[in-house]
Amino acid sequence: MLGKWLPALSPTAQSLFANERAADEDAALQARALERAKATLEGERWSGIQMRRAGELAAPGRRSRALRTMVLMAAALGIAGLATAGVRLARQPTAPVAVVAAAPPHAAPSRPHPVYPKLGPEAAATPDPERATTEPARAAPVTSSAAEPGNASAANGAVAHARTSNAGQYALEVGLLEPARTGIARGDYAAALSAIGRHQREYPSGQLTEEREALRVRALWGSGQKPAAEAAAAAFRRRYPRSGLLSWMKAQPAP
Amino acid sequence: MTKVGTFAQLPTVAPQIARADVSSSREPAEANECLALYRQELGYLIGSLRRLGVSNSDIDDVLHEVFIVMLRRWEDYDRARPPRPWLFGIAFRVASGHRRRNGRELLRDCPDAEDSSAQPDETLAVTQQRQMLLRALAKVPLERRAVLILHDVDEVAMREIADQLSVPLFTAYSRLRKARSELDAALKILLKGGRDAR
Repeated sequence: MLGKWLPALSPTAQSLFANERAADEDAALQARALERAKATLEGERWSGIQMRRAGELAAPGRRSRALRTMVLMAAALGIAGLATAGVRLARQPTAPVAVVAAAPPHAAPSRPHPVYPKLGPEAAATPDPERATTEPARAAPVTSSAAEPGNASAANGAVAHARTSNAGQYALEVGLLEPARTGIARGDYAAALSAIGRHQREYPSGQLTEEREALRVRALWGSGQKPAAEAAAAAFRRRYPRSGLLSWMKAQPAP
Repeated sequence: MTKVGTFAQLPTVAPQIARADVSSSREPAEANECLALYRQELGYLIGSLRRLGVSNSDIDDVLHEVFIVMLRRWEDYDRARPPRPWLFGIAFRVASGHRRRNGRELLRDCPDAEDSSAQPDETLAVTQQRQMLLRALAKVPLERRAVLILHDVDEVAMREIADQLSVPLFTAYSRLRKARSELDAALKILLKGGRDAR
């Protein structure tokens, strides 16, 4: 019955399909694609977000392209200062990345989500042994020490502290936005929007503002608030006309 | 209103956002497993994307999007079933999104882009046949083309096709029926054109 209703393939089509099944695809394209996929996994590992899970990725072979991609991604995410964080963040009161970086790669293999530092007064009140050992180095007010003429070491300390604060803030921002990203990943857009709102309150112009706004568009769209998502998208486009997050939209007409 | 279309595709096309999802809660072993499947089936994915009309100029990026979606959807992958229908489902959705974003039929430069001048005659004949098939497939609307490719090229059972493309079984059969007719009609025109040109 189905044979009458469903026309058989013509001999020409059959022959072409057989040819298609046996076709070899471009080896150079395959090699490029594989390199890019490895670079994505490497980049994910190096982004600092995945550092606690830094198991050994099976990505041997040429590293130059992967390395270049990693550098570009690091620049795009604004984490150039993160490399110093592992060493310097021990001076931070909350020292989130130091904890992450100091832990062995397999220290918490079964933990689904990272534990991020608390914000606010309760965090400041938490005793921190790391802080206790490094507190004297930060005891003098940075601005007044740096202002004294000839006090080069204090000035260096101020620069180091500023860098540390930068990296520390980055880690805190990552911590705030992580629930937004995991929320979107599992379809819990309300939780994602809540995390985005908290990040906006804490860091209205933080280092991850661009990422936050991109996540907002995605969360709004996912939660069915399409007009709001469109408005957020338009605002994003205006605010970050050269954002890497817009690269996939280049084929679109200008708003 | 073009933005509506743009952001309707957000879950599958924004590489940076997708990367954020990638890093949600996966162990490196899972990422490695996904990479191994990607490596193993790269040839199949490239062929599928070409048959779905992705042009040579876009295929690198579209292929990478497929990998990103594979990573994101890895927990949905059922190891008890053959991987190709699952991979095709991803490739189909990514290619559809790509086409909608670009607002055009993707097979713009695919058939003519390959340089055939340096190929031996036998390879040339195969390449020409392939390009003719890709041209004919481009005449079949994408949703029907997907069913046709899965059934007649990849030899996947109809029930599995309906499952992967999230359509009722009857709809899948209906699409296959129309797609075969459309393909034959397109091939006839191309063959006639080739003869007339000679």
